[in-house]
Amino acid sequence: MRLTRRQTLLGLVGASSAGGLSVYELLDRTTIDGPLSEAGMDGLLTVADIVHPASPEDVEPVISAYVGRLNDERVRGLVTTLSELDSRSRRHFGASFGALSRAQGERLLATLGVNRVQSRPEGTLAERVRYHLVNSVLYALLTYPTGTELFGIGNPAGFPGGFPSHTEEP
Amino acid sequence: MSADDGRPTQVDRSPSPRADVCVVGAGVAGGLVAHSLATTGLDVVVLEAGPRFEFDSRIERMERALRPDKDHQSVWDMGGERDEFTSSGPWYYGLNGTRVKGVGGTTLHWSGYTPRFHEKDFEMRSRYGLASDWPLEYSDLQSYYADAETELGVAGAADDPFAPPREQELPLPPFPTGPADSLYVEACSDLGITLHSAPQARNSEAYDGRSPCVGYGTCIPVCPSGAKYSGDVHVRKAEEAGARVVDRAPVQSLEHDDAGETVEAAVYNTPDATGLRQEARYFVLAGGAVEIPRLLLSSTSETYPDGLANSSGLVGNYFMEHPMVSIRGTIPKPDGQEPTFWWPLESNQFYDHEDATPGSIKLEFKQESPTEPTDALSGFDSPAGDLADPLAGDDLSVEDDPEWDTWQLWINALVEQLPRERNRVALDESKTDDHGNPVPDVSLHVGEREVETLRHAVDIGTRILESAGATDIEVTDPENPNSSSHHMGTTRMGEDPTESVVNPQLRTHDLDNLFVSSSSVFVTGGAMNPTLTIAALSLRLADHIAGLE
Repeated sequence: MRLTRRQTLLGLVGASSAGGLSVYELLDRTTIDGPLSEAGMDGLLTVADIVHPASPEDVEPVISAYVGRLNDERVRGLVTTLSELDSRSRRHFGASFGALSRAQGERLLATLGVNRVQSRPEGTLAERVRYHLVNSVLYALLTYPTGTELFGIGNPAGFPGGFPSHTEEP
Repeated sequence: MSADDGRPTQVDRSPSPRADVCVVGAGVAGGLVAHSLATTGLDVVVLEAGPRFEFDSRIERMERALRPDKDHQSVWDMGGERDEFTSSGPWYYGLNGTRVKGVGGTTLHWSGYTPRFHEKDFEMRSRYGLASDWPLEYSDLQSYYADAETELGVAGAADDPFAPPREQELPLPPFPTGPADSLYVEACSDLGITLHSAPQARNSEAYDGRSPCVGYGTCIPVCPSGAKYSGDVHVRKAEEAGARVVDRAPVQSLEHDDAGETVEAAVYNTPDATGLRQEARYFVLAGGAVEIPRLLLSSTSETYPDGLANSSGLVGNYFMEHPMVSIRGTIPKPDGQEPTFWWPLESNQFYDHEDATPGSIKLEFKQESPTEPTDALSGFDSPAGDLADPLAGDDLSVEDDPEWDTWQLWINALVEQLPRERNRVALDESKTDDHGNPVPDVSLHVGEREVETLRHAVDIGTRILESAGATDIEVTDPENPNSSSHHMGTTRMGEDPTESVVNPQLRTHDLDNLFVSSSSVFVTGGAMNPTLTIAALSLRLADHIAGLE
């Protein structure tokens, strides 16, 4: 029997939840293309709301496409970190991280010290949140026009904007 | 399981029966030789020290390149015990930032520029009384240059008035210029400096089954679309023509026959075995100007206690680079300007020279945003400071930040470095790699002639930027130049076995069936990016070996 991507990922991460959304619940139940469930995407959108001013409806397709390109190891790091963060969110606010307001989310990340640590794929929860969630969401947005228009850049490095972005006349 | 994750695989890496040709190294040189010879029906085995990289991994590798929280050498999995080295000269040489080990080789992270050498590059002794002449002339390579341009897919126009004679148009049209390029054109015109297109092995339109450039803007160090040529293209073609390519098979030594006249086997290790012997009738070393001398010096025997093909004592000597200075200035951001990487303009006006000094200069005209959006990932340690706070939210807005209203003009000047015996690749016996072998020790000095040429380049570049209206002009130090990641020399070509390592047919003087396909055979290095000359020499060598049959 051929395993779906979700089944493969579950095999890699196990199904522990530590009181928050389990990795099982963070992984998509219906498709093997988009690895995250709606709850998983909600968590990333909360991160995006904290770190970037673009509107959620503009951000979601960018984040969704980015996560869809990640390899299994990266998805594993992302969902295990998000699961742990969700458990902290429930402890602090009695709600899933994906349901927090921007102010609440910002307070939680600050409480964890995410803005005071180096980004590391394997490390403390704060270091991993910065690597797998904050910097990954920022990377997705800052390599896509949606996230760089505020810099006056329509074809950022990392985005396949093609020749039309580089012509003699604006 | 991927082939590049550091773990053993189930791939069969055992030796083939005695092959016609064993190629050591699967970069552009090895790929072209293997493809050409396999196409003629010869039985070819390629041994590559590094892994195969899955094409689909390039998007992830691009992220490693752009994210400041990633180690850039991780883009192509360089570093660690496998790639230990020493830099013992006064010019520190960060070797692992200048090369890639794996199928495709260093062209996986090259810029893609593909100029031909000029006639003078082959005649430095005759013209200027400097260094040595090549035993070849430009005309001996001219048709191979054309073939190489076709094989690699070179884009550009025949508009370089300083270029050597050519026989046909380049296969692809030039890349478009942009607003900042126009500033260069005006400024140079005012100074009487001629700009022209920069030939580059990057698809300006679909070519050879590969897509046109889509502008990811990360050519160095990775092209996710495959529009930029890399050596894996011809390695793949070689396999389709019947060659066998064995990855993760670093060759440890070469064994010769009792008479010391021919090489009998390349001895290699794999993740699962050691001391495997690949026998062949001919051997072609194509691992670059650092690993080739390292392998020869490591292949000692009673007959050759100083290493194989080293009766001249010159293996490893005359290592050359292209010392480089950068001249940068700030301008208001031109309307419509976007980040790009296919910098389409260069000038070779200062390449051919009457007097011996200053030497050849190649000018490359680039431009970029002074700040990249992804700098924001660096956090508070970044110069982007306030922008970078990951919790910035709405404060990420930069509408009032003057930094984003500026642009940088940026001229790179590559100059010629003469071959000197003291600039060399040797073995550092005090340090070993993951197989217990002594690591390469690169020793480089920058000579007075190079410094004088770099200063001349700084003067030219500064005048151009001033003419373009740039402010805050900064230059890098000519006495402590950047490197261009161009490894040349170390097994130089020549007629005299006491003065060179390989003959004009690229066969080692000492062993009848051992050939070298690499910039290691360059006698002098000019100031031109070396890859097209490597490719032309590789195609010529393949013709020669095929003709021995």
